[in-house]
Amino acid sequence: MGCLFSYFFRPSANADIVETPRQVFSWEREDRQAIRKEDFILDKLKDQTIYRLPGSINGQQFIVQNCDNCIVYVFDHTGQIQIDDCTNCRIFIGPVRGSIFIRDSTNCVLATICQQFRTRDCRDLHVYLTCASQPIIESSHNIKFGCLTLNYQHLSEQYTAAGISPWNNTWGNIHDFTSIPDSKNYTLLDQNENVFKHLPIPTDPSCSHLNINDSIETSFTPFTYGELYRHRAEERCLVILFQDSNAEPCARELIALNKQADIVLVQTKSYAINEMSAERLFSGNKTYTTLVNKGPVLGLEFAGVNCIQTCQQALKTLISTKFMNLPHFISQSSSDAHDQLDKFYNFASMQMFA
Amino acid sequence: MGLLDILRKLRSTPQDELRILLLGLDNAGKTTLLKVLASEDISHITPTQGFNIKSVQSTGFKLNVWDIGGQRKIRPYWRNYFDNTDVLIYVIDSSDRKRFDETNQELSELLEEEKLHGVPLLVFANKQDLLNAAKASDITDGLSLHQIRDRPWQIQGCSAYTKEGVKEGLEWISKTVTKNKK
Repeated sequence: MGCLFSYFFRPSANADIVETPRQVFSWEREDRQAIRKEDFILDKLKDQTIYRLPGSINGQQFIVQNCDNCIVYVFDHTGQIQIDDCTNCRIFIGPVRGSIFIRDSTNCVLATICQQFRTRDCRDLHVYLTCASQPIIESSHNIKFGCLTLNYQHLSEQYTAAGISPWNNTWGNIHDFTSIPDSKNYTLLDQNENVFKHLPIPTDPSCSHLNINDSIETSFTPFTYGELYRHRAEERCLVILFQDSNAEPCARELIALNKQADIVLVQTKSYAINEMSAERLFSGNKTYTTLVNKGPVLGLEFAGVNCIQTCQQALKTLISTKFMNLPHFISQSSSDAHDQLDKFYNFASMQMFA
Repeated sequence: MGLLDILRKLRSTPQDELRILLLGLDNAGKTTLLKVLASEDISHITPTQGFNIKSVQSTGFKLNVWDIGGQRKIRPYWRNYFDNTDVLIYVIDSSDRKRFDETNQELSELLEEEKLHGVPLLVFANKQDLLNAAKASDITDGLSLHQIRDRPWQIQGCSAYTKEGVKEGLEWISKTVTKNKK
């Protein structure tokens, strides 16, 4: 067996060009070379409905371009997504590792779960998101953003595969690179505008076993009001559940219980608070600062009339009946809550996006 | 290999400060690359609105890396960061074929900038891990890099996400900078 790797230098005045790498990169391996990229690109389709079922994309990049009047469902986790030059399309893309970028497209509905969301040169879009970072738009107009509420079989594993948490969703906190004075290029949809009001419900028998539904009650990402509630005056409460296998189940039940009492969920955030931030957030209380070392915490911001009292009651019930010994923190007063929420979010920005 | 490693290799040069500028279209992967260089977590990255900077320092020597937002609207601000640049790293999303012309255009304009005259250029053909990625050799041809005569240059295929190819690019930088001792 001869020597497989050799490298040539072609010396020139300004450039050393290494013809062959010293190691085989993952994208050069045979198994990777064998994947046909054409299977992951939808190009120049018209009046078609396309389904991709769980396992069919498996984290690869996916591209939809030059399509008109198509419906696309990707019920799998993917790599980077590009949607270009599409008109009148309705598209659902499962959890995206990285960014989804839609460009030069009009009159489309796009629902997705992603780490980054970007548009350029688009108009008249309905966008339903679970987005881990601040969505951005550029040179786009009449973009309507809503919180994606959705669940289907295998979706939770797909979130994990894409590295996305259902507790970090800033769907409505939009940054517009080309904002216009006295007007806005985007609006936010309220909680009644479920995704299947604008995206057709999938009806193909091949996916009926997935139990796809858009109800708020069963959504994997909880519905958050986010920016819809930012300027409202209702009392707020911060609940923090420390790292524990019961934290997420308890959070979901708390949200449901609170909802019955007209207490809404404004925002959630999950991150690993460092000790210094914990000192300041919990005013030096050592019990809490020790707890943050167990792992990322789950914070929930609630709002409503008598919010703190209602939250305390609901949480107490859940802890005493179902989730014994679940370490938690809850605001004790309205003024405390305000301050704690500020700190909680500020430390999150500093630590997560520094 | 990260910023600290370059720092160690460069400490022996008479320079006391090295300034690296990271440019490229939006969504190229500049910030992810910056975080990889700084050996930081890349799971929470947000589109850059202004710029990000990482600095590392070691007795008498400082290394600064500037990562500037690449949206079309804010590219006019790139020129505010040209002064005293020692290395230009231009990042390309190798899988975004639709915008190859656009990135070609931006890079050409940068290479004509007076303030960047003679500055060594490293092109990272990023996102090689994605299916639709064009090979670094094809990108070299598309960008007409072989026509560059006025500065040292290199193209390196990489994936900031898997970290492959990054250290090879940095090795070229440390070799080139030590050669260009002022």
